[in-house]
Parts: sequence; C-alpha cells; structure tokens
Amino acid sequence: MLVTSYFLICLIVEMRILSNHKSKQKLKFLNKFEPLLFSYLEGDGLPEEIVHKIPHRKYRFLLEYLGEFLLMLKGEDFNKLAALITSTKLSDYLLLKLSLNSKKNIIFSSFFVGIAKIKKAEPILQMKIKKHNDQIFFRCSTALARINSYESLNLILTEFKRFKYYSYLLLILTEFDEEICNKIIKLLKTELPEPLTVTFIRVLRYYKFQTAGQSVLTCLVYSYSKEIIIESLKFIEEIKYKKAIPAVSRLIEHSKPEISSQAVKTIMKLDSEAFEDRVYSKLFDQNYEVQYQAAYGILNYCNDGEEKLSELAYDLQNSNAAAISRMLLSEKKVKEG
Amino acid sequence: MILLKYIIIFYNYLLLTYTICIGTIYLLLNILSFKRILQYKRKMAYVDLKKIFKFQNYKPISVIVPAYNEENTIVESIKSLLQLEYPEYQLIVVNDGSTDGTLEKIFNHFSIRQVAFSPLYKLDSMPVKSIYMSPRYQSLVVVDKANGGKADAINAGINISKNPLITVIDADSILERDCLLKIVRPFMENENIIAVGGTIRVANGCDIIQGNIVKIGIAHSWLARFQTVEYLRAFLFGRNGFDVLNSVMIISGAFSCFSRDALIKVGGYRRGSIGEDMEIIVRMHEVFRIENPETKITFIPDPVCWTEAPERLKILRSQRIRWQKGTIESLRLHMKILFNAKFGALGLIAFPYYVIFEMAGPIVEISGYFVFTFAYFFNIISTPFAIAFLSVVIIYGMVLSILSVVLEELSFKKFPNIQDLFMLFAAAVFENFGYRQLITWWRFKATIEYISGKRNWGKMEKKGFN
Amino acid sequence: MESKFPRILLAEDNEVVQRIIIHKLEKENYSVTCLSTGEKVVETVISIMPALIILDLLLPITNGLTILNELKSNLSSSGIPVIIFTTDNNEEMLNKAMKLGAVDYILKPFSPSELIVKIKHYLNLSSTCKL
Repeated sequence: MLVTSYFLICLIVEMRILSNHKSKQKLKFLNKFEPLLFSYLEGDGLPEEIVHKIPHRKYRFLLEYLGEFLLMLKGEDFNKLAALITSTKLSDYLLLKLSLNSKKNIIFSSFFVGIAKIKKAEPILQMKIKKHNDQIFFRCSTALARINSYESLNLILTEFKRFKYYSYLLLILTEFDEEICNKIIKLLKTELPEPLTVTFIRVLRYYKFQTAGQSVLTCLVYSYSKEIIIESLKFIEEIKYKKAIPAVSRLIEHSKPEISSQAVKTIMKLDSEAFEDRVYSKLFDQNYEVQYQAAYGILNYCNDGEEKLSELAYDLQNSNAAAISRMLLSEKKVKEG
Repeated sequence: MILLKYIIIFYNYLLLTYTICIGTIYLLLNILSFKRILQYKRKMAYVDLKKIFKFQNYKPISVIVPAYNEENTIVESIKSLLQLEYPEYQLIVVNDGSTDGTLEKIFNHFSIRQVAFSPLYKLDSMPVKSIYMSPRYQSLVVVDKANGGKADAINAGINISKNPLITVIDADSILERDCLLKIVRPFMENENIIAVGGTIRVANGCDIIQGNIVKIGIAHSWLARFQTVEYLRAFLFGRNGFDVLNSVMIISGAFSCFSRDALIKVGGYRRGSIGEDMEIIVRMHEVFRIENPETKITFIPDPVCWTEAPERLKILRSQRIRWQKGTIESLRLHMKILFNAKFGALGLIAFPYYVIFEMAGPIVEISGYFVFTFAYFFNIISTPFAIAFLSVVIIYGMVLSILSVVLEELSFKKFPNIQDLFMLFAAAVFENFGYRQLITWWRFKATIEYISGKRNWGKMEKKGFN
Repeated sequence: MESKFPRILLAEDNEVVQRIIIHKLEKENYSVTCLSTGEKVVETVISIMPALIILDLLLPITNGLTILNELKSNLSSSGIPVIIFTTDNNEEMLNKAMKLGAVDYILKPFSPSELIVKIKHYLNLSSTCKL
C-alpha cells in the first residue's frame, strides 16, 4: 500500500513537471509567432507563407493559439485567420488527426474543422458521431452544425437518441444558422418525443423566428405536455404572436400552476387591457407563483395597476395577495427613487 | 481475570475490524466519487452554462445570508455577492440582532431605505424589526430582526423570499462568480431534486481581493493544512460518494440551495438546532422520500465556495464539538430512518454508517486507544499484533489521505504551485500523527457531553454562528 | 492641451482579446492602458482620465456593471464615453449597462475594425462637444 502511494505521488509530480515544461515551450513559441500573425492580419503575406515558417511539430501549438482568436473574433480578421487553416497544410493536418481513432485528436481537430468551416471534414465527422462516446458525438455534431451541414441533421438526431442530455442538443442546434428553424418547422409536424419538441421550440425562441408562430401555436393547442405548453407560451411571449391570444387565454385558469402562471405572464404582454379583469382574479389564486405573476402583470402593464395593488395591499382578508402587492409596490417605489 | 484478558483481546480484534471497515468504506466512497467527478467534469467541459441558462427554464433565486456581528467584512461580502453571474436573483441579508455596527455599515454603504414588506410565509422566527431595500442596488434586501441564531435568521429570510429557489450562504463564504449557475443546474435537469449542496474548500493561504479568490495557495499553518486535506477527504470524496447512492445526509450551510416549496413544506429550519444544516436535510429525506421515492438531494463536486478554516486550536475545538453534537442531534431526531428499507440506501447504508462510524465512532476509537495501550503494557497482546494494529490504523489513514490529494490533482487540480502539492502530501502523512487523534478526542468529549445532557451551544456561542 | 495620442483604457481579462485590441489600437496611434481585473479601474480612470473606456462586463474582482455605476456617479469620470464589451448571453446585464449610461456596446465574438470605427466615432463626438 505504501509502495502504491509512493508510486502515485511520483506519477502526479511527474505529470505536473511535464505540464509546466509544455507551458513554457508554448509561451516561447507564442512570443516568436505573434508578430508574424499580426503583420499577416494587416495584409502582409499569404496564408501559405506564414504556415510554411512553422515546423510541423509545432502545429498543435499554432492551432491552440489560433483557436483562442477564432473564438473571439468575427468579420475580416476572422476570415483571414480561418484562411490560415483552410488554405494551407493545416487543413490536411486536421483532417488526418480527425480520421484517427484517438479521442483526444478527434476532439481537438473537430473544433477547428467546425469553426473554420472545412466542408471536406463532413464525411469523417458523420462517421465519428456514430461512435458510442458522448464527448465525440457532441464535438463532432457541433462541428457539423458550424459547417451548416444540413444533410447531417437527421443523422445527428438519430444518433442523439443514445444520450439523455437535451441541453446538449440545444447547444448543437443553435450552432447551425437560422435555416435550422425552417427544418424544425417541418419536423414539428411529425410525431416527436416530448423533450425533443421542447428543445426545438427553444431553438425557435433563440432565433426569435417569427415564421414559426403558427407551428408553435399548433403545439400549444394540441399538446397535453406541461413542458411543451410552457415552452410554447414562452416562445409566443418572445415574438409577441397575437394570433395566439385566444389559445393563451384559455390557459389562464389551467389547473397546473406552472402553466397558469406562464399563461398569465404571456397574456399580459400580448394584450393586458382585454384581460385585466381575468388576471386580477388570479391575484387570489391558491398558488404563490400565479398570484405573483398576476400582481406583476397588473402593476406593470395596466394603467391603474398601481392603484389596484395599493387597495389590495391592506386587504386583511387576503393576506397573501396583500403581501405580494406590498412587496411589488415597495420594489417599484424604491426603483423610482 | 482470564475472562478479562480474553475480552480485551477480543476488543482489540474488534477495533482492528472497525478500523479496516471504516477505511474500506472511505476507499469505496473515494472510488465512487472519483468516477462521478470525472463524469461531471466531462459534462461541464463542453457545456456553455451561460448559453444554456439563456434558453432554459432557469428559476430566479433568493440568496439568503444570515449575518451576526460581521461589521468588518459585511460590506465587502455584499458587494461581492451582488456581482454573481446569474440572470435573476435577489440578495437577502438578514441582520440577526448584531450588537456591533453591521447594520450601520450596510446603511452607510448601500443607502438602504425602509420598505413595507410583509412576510409571504410563516416559518418560525424571532420578530422582524424592519425590512430595507436600496435604490442603487435593486437586488439587495436587508432584514433587521431580533437575535435568534442562524436557523432562525434563515427562516426570516425565507419568509420574504420571492423566488422559487433559495440559496443559503454564510456571510464569510467566498464564492466563485458562476456558483449560482452551477448549483442550480441539477434543479433544471431533474424535477425531483429538492436540495443541492456545493463543495467547500479551505481558503487559508489563498490570495483574496475584495471577496474574490485570485490565486489558490496552501495555508501557512499546519493546522489549516491538515484541515485542507481533511476537507478533500471528507467533503469532496466522502459526500460525493454518498450522492451516488442518493444518500446525502448533510450539505454545508456555507453554500446550499433548496427548492423554496420544499423548505416551506418541512417547516423551515429548526430553531435552536446545533447542526441545523444536517438536521434539515435529514428531515427533508424523512418527509419527502416516502411520498416520492424519486426525491433526490444531491451535490455538485465543483469547488465553488471557499471558507476560512480555524487556525487556532480553541476555535477549531469548539467548531468540531458543535459539529459532533449537531450530527448526534440530527440522527437522534430522525431515528426512524435507521434500517428502514422504505428509504433505500439511505436507511440501510448511509444512516447506519453515520450512527456507527460518525456518532459512536469517537467512543470506539478513544476507548480503543486506552484498551490497546493497556493491553500492550500488560502483555495481553503481542508485539507483532501491536505493530500490525498500529500499521493498519496509521498507514491506512495515511494512504487514504494521500489518495484524496491524488484524486484532487487528477480531477480539479486547483493548486497551481508544485510546492503546494508537496505540502499537501506532507500534510496527508503527518495528519495521522496527532491531528486526527485530537479531533477524535474532541468528538468523543462532545458525544459524552451530549449524552449527559449538555446540548446547548454554550453561553458565548449561542448568539453567534461560528 | 489635447494629447496627440488619445488615451484609451481597456478593461478586459481575456489575454487574447487584450493583445489583439492593443495591437489594433496602437496601430491607429492611440495609447492604451490595459487592466485585467476590476479593482483598480475606477482609481486608474480618475488618475489618467482617458478619452474613452472599453469595459468588459464580466471582469474579475469587480464586474463591469459595478464599475460603470461608480464611474457614472463620480463627476470627474461621468463624462467619459464607455463602450461595453460582452458576450451575447448577457442581455440582462447589457440592458442595465445601457441604462446606466454606456454609450454603446460590442458583442463577442467581435470585429476589431468595427470596434475601431465605434471608438473613432465616440472620440470625435466627445471632442466636438468640448469645442
């Protein structure tokens, strides 16, 4: 046991030393390369000329360094940096690493082929996402999405079924450009598992895709799932889809407080005048969340909202509504200074 | 006489078995935890938390900070807490009848004004004198109330919380900016989660500027270094291991997050508790798990909260005595969970573990030292046995501590200097020659005191939190 | 006397972003003071009185919003134009910053040329106002 401990300690220490050495080497490389990069960005030299000056064994350092810039930039500078990858030997280097079996290499190169939009990488990426590893699936799918490889969409959705984390799918889908919304609208017309529908509606909300109003309204009206209803309400609220008003108003008195409170929130943003009275009655609901949303809506979207809540603030018979009113009124007063 | 001799020999073997058992359990917990931590790290590595929060059903949070006599640090703490990265949260500072200038400092620095709040809930707490808000810092709410202790103060904060998630923090906790994003994530992924704990690390030796850790380092005093290793072993790996079995029995009051509805349902914190952070968790298990076996209380392995560990023996002693009494009290109040299959692994593994090894453990260990020494000096046990015994006790302990440091390096790798790493390894070794025994002795005293009826905090400690 | 090389204060913790902005700004003949953490920003602004401030919202130690609040409450610094720099996941913070009086914002990922155009615009604006 002692021997094992000693061995482990030595291993850890060695790993540290190696890592420190690598950092020092990287720093040395950067100090030499950075002036070259900046003058290239100003218009000096062609991509091939720059990369030619870097020895092959330093490609990894070069790419790690470029990667940080690529994440932060867009526009002309981004295009010039991406050209350093796409129009030079770096592209072949990455494609080679991508096609290897090593997880580390796949993960490393998938980032670059995606961000630099190397179309040639598509078939390799498609092959890799069929593997069982979730990290590889995620990285390669993200790369395909960044390349806007719509041909791969079905494959991604099929392979995704092996995993449970829909938040990952959300991140992947939002790497596509806005055209993904049109694809989603078509997919929403088919039978889908509930979490997938929710994810799709979230993507539509991310893009604030106005054209999807009717599709999401259909989901709202025909679904029994709490999550789908809530997500649809949020989308409708985001794009202010007035055609949905009748459907949303029917949900104000829903038995599930999560739905009722979201419906109250949404309706007040769409048409506070017409629904003021109905929402006012929700101030006396059993559930705190519903009461809160009703009070918030009345205060912020109705002309005489403040007076209404002030009356309620001292209503001894309805202590919850009174407490919420007092809190919201106080907050407003303090905000206004 | 011969009977006595055999009893002593038997007891020594029992002790040996006990030591091997507890060591093995810790080893298993370490392995389970490590696996889970790696899984967690993998998940987090390619997840852009802020982006996800932008889309998903993030719930607004009410952060409650009970404060008692914190005039030296309260302004900096509040300033730092107002800068957490989260889309929507309110910061409720509860001044629990401080006798120093805590409230005055808050008044002067944040220009707070009285507001007409009334409580939204009715949890037990001492009367609230006034509630204040600040026009410049609109997420800040300050509650001024009569002194009642930490649990009482938290209840007062819950009573005026407007948000569905409640995070409870110690006034001297140092938090990483994205801590709220991390601790809320489990709630978003699983509807059945009612409480989440954060991992606490020792801040001694770290460079801290305005309530932010800018450089992680190791403590200068050996006492704090031993505690650093202890926190790694017990917190990071011990509790995470229990999480795999859905049997987390304690989450630290320094940083924890709850569903407000769950807190209201169990009636809030128990006033006058010695170990209110453990007691509420065990109570939550008891109330929720029968109704809904899927209920989960979990941990995030990410070290997002840092706290100063006591560097003086006197303070460490009172802390450990309080912890032990708190543990015993929490277990005593909820004994129906013990060996109750309805609670799954909690009732059949975790609770018994706490009763045998955490509650009774110090008694077994201390008595063990006496019996062992007596037996050796009276030649009841042989020298080879004595050597074997000591080896197991000390070496097993040492190896476990070293393993914790190794696992920390392989997972979070928070200590940047290689010298610090060496110090940690050294602390892992030396911890077993005196420090552990001292802690066990104090825990033993606490257990005896508790059993004999001395269950309060003691005069000085009653009003304070530390 | 107006300096030939207007001074810009850059408060940004990402090293890569720092390096590229400093390089681009120096090419345009601006002098740049760069800070990676928030605790000395207000103090530095008051001592060097830059012509313009580029402020990252998520600065360590003291975040951009708190700094902006302090700058705008202080008579000497409230007139200096502040351009906010942030990622696009931060809508709430950005709205608060604009309400506090920031003149403009740049989202990350960003285009350095766009940033230069904005800087020139606000520097011209503020020197015109001084006339």
